[in-house]
Amino acid sequence: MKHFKLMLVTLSISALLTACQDETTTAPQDTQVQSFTQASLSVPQQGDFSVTEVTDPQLPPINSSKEPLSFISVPAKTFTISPPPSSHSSTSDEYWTTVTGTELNQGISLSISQASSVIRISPRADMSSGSLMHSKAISPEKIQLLNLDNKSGASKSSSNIHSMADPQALATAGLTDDSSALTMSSSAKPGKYQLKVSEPLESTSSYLVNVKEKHSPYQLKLTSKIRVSSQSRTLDFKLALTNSHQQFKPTASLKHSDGSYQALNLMPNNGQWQVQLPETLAMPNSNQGLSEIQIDMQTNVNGTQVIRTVKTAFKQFVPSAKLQQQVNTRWLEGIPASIDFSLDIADEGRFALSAYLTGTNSSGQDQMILKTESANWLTLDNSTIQLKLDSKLIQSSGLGDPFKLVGLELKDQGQMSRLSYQQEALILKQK
Amino acid sequence: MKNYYKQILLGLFISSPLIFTPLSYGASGIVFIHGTGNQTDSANDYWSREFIDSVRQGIPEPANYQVINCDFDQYMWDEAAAGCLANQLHTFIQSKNIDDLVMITHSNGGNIVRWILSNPTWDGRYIDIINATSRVIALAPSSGGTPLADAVNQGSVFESTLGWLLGYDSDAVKQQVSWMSYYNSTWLNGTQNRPSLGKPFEVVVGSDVDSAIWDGDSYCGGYQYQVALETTQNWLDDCSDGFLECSSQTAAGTVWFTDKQKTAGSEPLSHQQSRLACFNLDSLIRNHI
Repeated sequence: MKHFKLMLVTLSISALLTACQDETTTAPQDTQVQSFTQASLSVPQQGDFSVTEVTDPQLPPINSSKEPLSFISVPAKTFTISPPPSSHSSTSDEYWTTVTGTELNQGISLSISQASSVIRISPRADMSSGSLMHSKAISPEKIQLLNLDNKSGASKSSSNIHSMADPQALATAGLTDDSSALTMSSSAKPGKYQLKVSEPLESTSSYLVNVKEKHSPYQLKLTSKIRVSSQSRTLDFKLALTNSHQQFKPTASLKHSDGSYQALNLMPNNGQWQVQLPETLAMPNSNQGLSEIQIDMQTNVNGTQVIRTVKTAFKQFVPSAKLQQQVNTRWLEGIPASIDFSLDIADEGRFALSAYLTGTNSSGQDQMILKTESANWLTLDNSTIQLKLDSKLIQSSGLGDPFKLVGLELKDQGQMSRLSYQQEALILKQK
Repeated sequence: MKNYYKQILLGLFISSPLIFTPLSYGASGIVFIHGTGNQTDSANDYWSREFIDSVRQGIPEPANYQVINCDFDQYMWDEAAAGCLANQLHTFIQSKNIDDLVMITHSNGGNIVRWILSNPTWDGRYIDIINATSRVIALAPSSGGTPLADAVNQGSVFESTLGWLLGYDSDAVKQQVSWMSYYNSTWLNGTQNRPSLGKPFEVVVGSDVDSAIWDGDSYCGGYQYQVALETTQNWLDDCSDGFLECSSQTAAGTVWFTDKQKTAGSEPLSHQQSRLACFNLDSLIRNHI
């Protein structure tokens, strides 16, 4: 390993990570010529985003460290900067439904759209009595699955079930929620089935039934934004069910990471869907975790009922800071040494800034030199973040003026949120 | 104030031969970082002594090893998760003067390590760890999350507010696919269209589960695990180790190998087996490092 490392150092030094943690600003030597320039951030381009009006976050920050930290590294030569994604898609070939113990004893109706589907029954907890009641696990041998479409004797439960797994077995595989599962036979036909538990269950007990139809041709795809400002009152998303042109009326709900959960009013909106975010519980009560939007739908495709549940996560954030337009660059011997950014903030917090420095080669093309990132606890009296540069890295790159700062990102480490991004942020010229 | 300006700046490498001094006087070390769960004795309860003792022979100083015990049921940035890992790594690095650190991770442990490597300005401890790290060998990392986490967390308010579910609940919803997508796009490096991790992140992929009762290979790590993992494969792509899809395992870093390419008898590595001395996995890693 040592030899490997030394070879890396001597033979391919450009691939090495370089780093510095500098809590002080080293005073330039007397012989070095120091100068300062001021410039404005470039006009935003497509894919850029930022905060327009700063707002005070009300929640305690996740990261309240007061330690100023800086780090410089050399990106991989193959790395090309691209704007961060604005949306995320999730697909689903399954659905969930919550039922009571009584319903399971009486038998619930399930729509199955293909053979070899998997059905999992997971006990839930209940606090309706004022104390925690943990519904009991179900022994898989007590589960029956009857085909309601088949009026002949062929609807026997055993013929519809290929295999079963008990809670202990599933727990060893990571499904540690006391659930039981059965896999349907490959000969089981699509249609209506009755799921019934012969073991007596508490009437108030609650169970989540998960029907997974692996490889189903009917996949529900949900595409929505990855980040939503606290100032936004609506959320737009797209829905599409593969291999179907049937209209359907979905329902939507919002779930925060703290477990708060509520139904949303949903309306069609120019080929998409839109929900109004609620007045109450509009924002999570913790900076930890993400919010989720969950969509439930059912439709009939060629005589087969298809039910789907899909959800995706997004970050709800308070627009807590924005960069001011004017930035100051310090130069040493004609090489940029550091760049100071002033931030507008509504309250103190820990913010992080990062960007890439490029230089110009002999052909006039931009080439990557380094990535620089800094974070600090900012106050209303001191809201400046300095991005440090490394003169030796710049010199050894052989690249020259004009230098550019690209991929400029501002994050709020207290909220775990990206606040702004600018692809072409700044052109650095000494004169 | 302290000045931690590191003597490993690339520019200094070029200009001064003195830069080799720290490397010459440092040492190699290896750490074993478990996956999801609150571990107190992961050497025995998660890994196995056989696996650890075999793999650590691959470094020049086999005694320089550490087995991590932290609570990876928490959010990855939580003090109980990344903070605990950073403390244990930092202590190990300082006490052994490690400047050539190999990290062996399994499953969600790879995400906690990626968090540290990706966020040097989050915590001052992270920078020293990044500087000391030579490479990460990520066994079945859950880089893209797992649909199984979505399956468990689906549903009503109950499981989140009451926290009686173990493993995925409490704050451990991190491995849901959509959650990991957000973290990968914003806070974690190494995935497509994101900055690299700066250090090699080599992935071993588990691609299938064997649970034939007549096949002795199905018993490595426990036959009951194999049977269960075959059930959970129903929630996953056809290429999976019973807990993670291959696409999730390969979402970050570079693939070192997919199980059957190198394992003894071309056996697949289930998620249970990819942290044990099954099918020469231990010797493959030992020889690789």
